[in-house]
Amino acid sequence: MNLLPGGCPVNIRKFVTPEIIFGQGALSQIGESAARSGASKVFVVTDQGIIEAGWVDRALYYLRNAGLEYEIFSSITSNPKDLEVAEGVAHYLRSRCDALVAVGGGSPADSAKAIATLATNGGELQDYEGVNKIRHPLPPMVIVPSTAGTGSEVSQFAIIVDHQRRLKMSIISKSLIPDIAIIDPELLNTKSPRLAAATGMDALSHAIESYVSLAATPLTDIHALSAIRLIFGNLKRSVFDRQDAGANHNMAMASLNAGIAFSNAILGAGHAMTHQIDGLLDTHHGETNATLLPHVMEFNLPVCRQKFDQIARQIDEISHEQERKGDFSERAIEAVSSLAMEIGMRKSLADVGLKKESIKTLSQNALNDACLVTNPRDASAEDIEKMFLKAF
Amino acid sequence: MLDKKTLIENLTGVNSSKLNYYVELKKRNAEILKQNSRLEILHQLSRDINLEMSTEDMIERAYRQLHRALPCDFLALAMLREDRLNMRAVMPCKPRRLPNIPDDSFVWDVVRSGQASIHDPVAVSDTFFQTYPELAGELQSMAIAPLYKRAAVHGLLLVGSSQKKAYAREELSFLQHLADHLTISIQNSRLYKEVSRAQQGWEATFKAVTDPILLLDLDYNILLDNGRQMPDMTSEQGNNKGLKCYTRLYGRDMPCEECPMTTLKKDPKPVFKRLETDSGQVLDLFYYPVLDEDRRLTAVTHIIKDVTQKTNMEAKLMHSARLAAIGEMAAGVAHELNSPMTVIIGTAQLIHREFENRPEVREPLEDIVNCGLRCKRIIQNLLTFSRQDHLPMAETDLNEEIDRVLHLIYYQIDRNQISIVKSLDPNLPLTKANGRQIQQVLTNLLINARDALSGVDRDKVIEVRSHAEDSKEGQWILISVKDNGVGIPAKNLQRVFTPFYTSKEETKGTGLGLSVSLGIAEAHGGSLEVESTYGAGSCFTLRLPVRKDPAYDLNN
Repeated sequence: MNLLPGGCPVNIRKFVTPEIIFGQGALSQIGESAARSGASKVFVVTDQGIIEAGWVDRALYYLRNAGLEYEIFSSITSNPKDLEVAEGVAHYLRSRCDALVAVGGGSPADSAKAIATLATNGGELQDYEGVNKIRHPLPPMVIVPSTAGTGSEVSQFAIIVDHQRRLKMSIISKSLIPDIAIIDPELLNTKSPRLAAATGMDALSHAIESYVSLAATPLTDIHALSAIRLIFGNLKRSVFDRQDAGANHNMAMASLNAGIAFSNAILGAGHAMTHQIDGLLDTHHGETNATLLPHVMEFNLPVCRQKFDQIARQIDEISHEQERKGDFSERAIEAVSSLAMEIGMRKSLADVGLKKESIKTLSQNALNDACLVTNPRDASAEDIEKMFLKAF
Repeated sequence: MLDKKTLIENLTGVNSSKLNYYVELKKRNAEILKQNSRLEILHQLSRDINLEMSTEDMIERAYRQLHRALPCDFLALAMLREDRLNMRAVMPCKPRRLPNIPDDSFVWDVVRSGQASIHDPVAVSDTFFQTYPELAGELQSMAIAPLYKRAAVHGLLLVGSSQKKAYAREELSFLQHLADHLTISIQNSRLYKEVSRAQQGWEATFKAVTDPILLLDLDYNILLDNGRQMPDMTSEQGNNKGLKCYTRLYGRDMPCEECPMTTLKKDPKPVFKRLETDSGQVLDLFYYPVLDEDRRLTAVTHIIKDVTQKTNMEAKLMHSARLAAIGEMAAGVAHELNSPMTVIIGTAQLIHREFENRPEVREPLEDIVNCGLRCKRIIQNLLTFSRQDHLPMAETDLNEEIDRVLHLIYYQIDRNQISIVKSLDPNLPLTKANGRQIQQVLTNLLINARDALSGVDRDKVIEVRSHAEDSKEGQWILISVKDNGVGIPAKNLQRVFTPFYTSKEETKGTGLGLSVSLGIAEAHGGSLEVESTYGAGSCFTLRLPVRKDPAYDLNN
């Protein structure tokens, strides 16, 4: 048996998910879920958009019904900053809460995780940047996503912007996996088409990168492929008709699947690169992903033709005759590109606002991103720079 | 850079899990249990260490308990005095000499930094171990905590172990706790000693006063008393075993009427009262208010002073002064009468010689001469009685004094149809006495006897008796004056010698006679005793010792 220094055979993998509550109207479970996890006063992390959409009021109603006190924290922007987290921790400790609930997209979810980390571990967020730096268990966390994309509700990741270094810090720890994820497709009704498109592309990039990841396992593959199939089947409908309950339901499931996959199999060069741009420009993570994903796929193509072939088979009905001809890997890249184009997500990095001069630094920084480790093809700074330039 | 496989292992988390609160809880619990057991030991120590213990004993106690809480093969206490670290106690080796800790030793670092610190491994070459060579081989690690007094280091607590790495941060904080604790104990014990010394001083003062002193609260409870015998304030036999002052002193169930406490509550100023008890004691009662910071009455100090003797003395002085004045007057009158009497007697004698042959004239003249002579004797007695200067004691025939007195007051008594029975011992020894004063006593007793007989129907008899008696203390002369008059009620028997006590009407008595007489008897080393049966008569006995040596001078 091939043994690693730790005495652990190479083929042993781990698969972790939180308790998952999925379904139309699942938001109603939020009160009981929080109460069951031992909460008495809940710190509700959300953002202004969700409050305006009325979802927070609904959530509070259920919290009250479960006999819980609560404190609302909503000073969060897209791509949450370490300063916002610091403010949140102070607020959390001051208001003597003992559990966290996040209602919203990736920003409230990641903020809640970061606040929870500092609440029991103390110190600065920078102390926990990297893998397994968290030393003490976090308070109970319940996350209710309002977008179908981030996967934060099931993942061991929290991505927070270091405002001084202007880059995204990845905090990776099993302890960041929330205790309960509540996925209610109804919440998707209120997001804008553009947000639906961006988050959908984010979910797709999660699914594809985790599927080709070096850490992928059959357990994660099932989720990744299922996500890809659902996204190609439903994203367009979901973007063009916000009230399409079937499409929303499937996109919610797709996002969940993608989240489960990437939390356990990790990502690749695409995320290593988008993290750099998001940190610098405060762009939407999904849009950057959509822009970079085809180029990263192209770079990875030589080492994972078989997997891309499998992806292509999720997208199209492929006849037995065609099947005999073999390789459909390039078709996967085309399909991703055209889906992005169809929902208005095919842009250039210049459109996003990136300056050419920044690319060298970003490429260098991307080498340090944990996500790069699991990319199927080793990438040097030059390789990354080339991909950036192609997408420019 | 870690190899890729390891990185992936870490990312996918084969070697990690979501941190578990149960594990965290167990960890905390274990910490708390450890902490608890240490607190228990601190607690035990604080129970063991009592205020009267010396610092050395405290360290010894601590040493015996401490091993349960942290490695402890050595415990020492050093105190900072004038920039020197005096070793005060060292356990368990107890060296005979305790030299100061040299100031270039690492031990001093703690004094300078004010922070508890761990020394692991200890530097055997340090001057500390040169000073205490017996420790050099023993100790591998040490922890030192400062003792703080008003934010300044004033000593060190040192603990050492024969093990390496015996102390960590936790042990250090426990040691600091222990040091703080010891500081408090040491300070407490010092304060306690100071306070108890001060208190003992006051207590001794309080107990030394021979008059009863009581501290009363506002509810009449006796908080403190100096254990002196309380005088009998009342003859009533009440329950006087209470806490309340009125119960203890007066045998009452409720506060006395006109209790000075009431006055004090209104106006906290010292109150003075004089009380004459039923048994004739004269007591001065002082009530001093005890005030708190706001000048509110919180308690009352009550002092009872027996001034019976003092007042007796004062009364005697007054009486003597009065007698002296009367004496002076009497002397003047007697002197004035003396000359005309001499003329009367001389003239009568001349006439008598001329009419010697005429008995009808001679007899009345003889009467004139005899009565004149008697007058002269009376005058002479008066002069003697009222002589100003105190006669020094001289060998005196007391029978002669009795006769002299009887002569002097013969008429006063005779007039009341009283028979005087005289039974004098002819062999009465002489004794040193002041005849004048003895006369005064006897006059007094006779006048009292006469007065006791007024209004009695039976044959009135006064018996004057003198005799000698031998006893262990020597020979005594007893002169008694006995009447069969009204007698004295038993309850007044003790009071008859009290100044100004009198059973007679205002005009007749001053209430001084017996008290002065008693004073005179006592001045002669004797006594004046009374026996009386109410309705049957009284007998007063003057008892004087027979003294041949020069008696003591009354003027002194």
